[in-house]
Amino acid sequence: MNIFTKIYFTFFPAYLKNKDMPKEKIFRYRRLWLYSASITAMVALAPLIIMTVMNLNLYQGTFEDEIKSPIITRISTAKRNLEFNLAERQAALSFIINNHTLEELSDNDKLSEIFFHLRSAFGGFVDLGLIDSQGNQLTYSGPYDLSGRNYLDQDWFNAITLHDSYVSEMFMGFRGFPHFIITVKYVKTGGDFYVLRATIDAEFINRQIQALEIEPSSDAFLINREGILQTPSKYYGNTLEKCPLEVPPFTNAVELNEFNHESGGMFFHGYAYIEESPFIFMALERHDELMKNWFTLRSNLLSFLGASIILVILVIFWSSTRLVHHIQEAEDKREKVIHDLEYTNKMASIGRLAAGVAHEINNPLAIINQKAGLLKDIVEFDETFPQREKLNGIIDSVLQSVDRCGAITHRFLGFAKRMDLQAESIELGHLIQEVLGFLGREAAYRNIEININKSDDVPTIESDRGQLQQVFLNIINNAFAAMKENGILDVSIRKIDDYSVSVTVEDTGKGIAKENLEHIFEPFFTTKKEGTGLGLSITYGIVKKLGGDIQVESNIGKGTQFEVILPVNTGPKREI
Amino acid sequence: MKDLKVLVVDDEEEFVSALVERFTLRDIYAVGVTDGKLAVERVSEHDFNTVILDIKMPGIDGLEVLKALLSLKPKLKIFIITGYGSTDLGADGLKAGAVAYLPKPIKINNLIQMMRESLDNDGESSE
Repeated sequence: MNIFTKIYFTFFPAYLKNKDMPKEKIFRYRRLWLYSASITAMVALAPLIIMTVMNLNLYQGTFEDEIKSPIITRISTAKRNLEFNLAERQAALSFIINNHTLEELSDNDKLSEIFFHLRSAFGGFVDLGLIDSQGNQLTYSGPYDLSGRNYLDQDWFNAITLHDSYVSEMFMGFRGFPHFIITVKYVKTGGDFYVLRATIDAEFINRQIQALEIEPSSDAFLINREGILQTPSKYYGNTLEKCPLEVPPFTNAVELNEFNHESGGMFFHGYAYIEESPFIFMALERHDELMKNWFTLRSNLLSFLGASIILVILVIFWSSTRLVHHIQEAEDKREKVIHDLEYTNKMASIGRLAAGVAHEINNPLAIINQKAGLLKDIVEFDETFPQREKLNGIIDSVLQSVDRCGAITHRFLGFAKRMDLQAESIELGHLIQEVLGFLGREAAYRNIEININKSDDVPTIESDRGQLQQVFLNIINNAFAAMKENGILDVSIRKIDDYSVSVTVEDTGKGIAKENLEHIFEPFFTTKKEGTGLGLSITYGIVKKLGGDIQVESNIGKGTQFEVILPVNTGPKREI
Repeated sequence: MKDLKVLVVDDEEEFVSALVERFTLRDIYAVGVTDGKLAVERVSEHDFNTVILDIKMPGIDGLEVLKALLSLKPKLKIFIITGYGSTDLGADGLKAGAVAYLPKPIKINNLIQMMRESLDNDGESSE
């Protein structure tokens, strides 16, 4: 397992995928992990996400307000300016018509004089004319030769017959350039009336409006109530062309909306109706440019949120993995304890059974032994006994069989018997040397390399020397038996803690099959032809009795490792 | 060298009879009994110097028999034999004054040798 896989498994534990464990365990741990991870994630992430979204909305609102308010201010200023300019000119005309008699106004020289003063006082005026109630131009002052024209069929003339004053839309008229007119009416006693009509150059208004286009991308223009452009628009064409934008509903205030322009950008769209005129002021401001700072802030916030979520999730995965790992460890430990307990009980039962059987067999065996011995005595003491040699042979073989049985029953009893332990101070290194001394010639003969590693901090232990010799004799003997020539036997002695030490005997032998490993400490379990299967079970019994523990690990073809853990002071004696 | 006078105490009749006969074949005076009370009676009546005692017999406390025999005759050489592996009982027997503790099955020639040695040692040390 390399470092990356290790790190990966720290966050995504193996049981989420693999099938090495029993199914129900995988399922349980996976569910535990998912529960833990999802609940923690929900508790940790939900507030974070909700807060961020709320903040974003709040920020966005604030930002938009901050952007909108100057636009609105600009539009209202434009509205007021336009209204003021129109009203100012209307008022000037009203003043003229009320302050001069019809005779004065009908005098061309006088009108020219008035027009001259008007032009110098107010900008934008192109010409000035007096028209009677029949639509006939009575006098005219201006650059065009319009004297004698009749306006009876013109829209504006119809309008002025109904109103006191009137501001027209842009139109080309007789002049051939866009302009609009302001007219005021004077009603004589008796109902007849005459009209003062002034033409205002469209440029006069255009200039005012274009001054409002602050950004290169922004657009400001006038439309009339039919949606016809009254001033040129950057996006929608020239004066008197149809503006594709819908004519906004009437309002006294300034309205600001957002809309998607066909060119692809988001725009703020503001408008205001210009009072006492057919004009509607429209302003377009590119949304994304104004909101640039906001987009930067938003993307910063969102990437911070993203990074936080990833970090939180990693921490949650890690802690869930740790949590489940601890649970798993605790459960494994408990299972092992239960398993050990069962095993100890099993061994104790087998021990009692073995002792019982051994004793039951031992007494009849003693009788057979004595009877056969008696038979042998009778034959031997009588030199003339017929077929003496043959009988002797038969009796010897009976006695030999009895001896074999006796050896087995004694091992049984040895396995079962409880002894007083002879506690003495033991230096484990010396003890292993002693045991190897018993086997030394075999090792040399078979060219087996023996390494003993002992850490310096290993204390001497209180235990039973004879019993321990028996333990390591059995284990090392087995190790030798498992190895061919040129094997290596490693014995390492180390301190586990203040209370226990460990002796590990590792061989390079043929190993023990997995299915055999769990039985090797049981009596009569053997894979050797001449084995009784008692060696390791006795070893196990002794180690347990000494308050220790024995563990085995093995790889087929590679070797076997026995680890004997011994208490530094003899633990409580156990009856096996 | 004193003569061995052996009392064999074991609940197994066949074991006792075979052992006694084998001692007899070797010119050793031996008597067998199959229960503890009889053993005590025989020892008080006759001049045995050695007892072979099965310490674990059904219904009989071998250790009590051993103590009773020794209180009757402190110099008695008692060899404990048993079919059980329990060394505790053997150790108790040795503590109570037995000479040796031998697990069954036993080899008669070894046993005789041990009995002789024990008797001779005692003779030397006491004389």
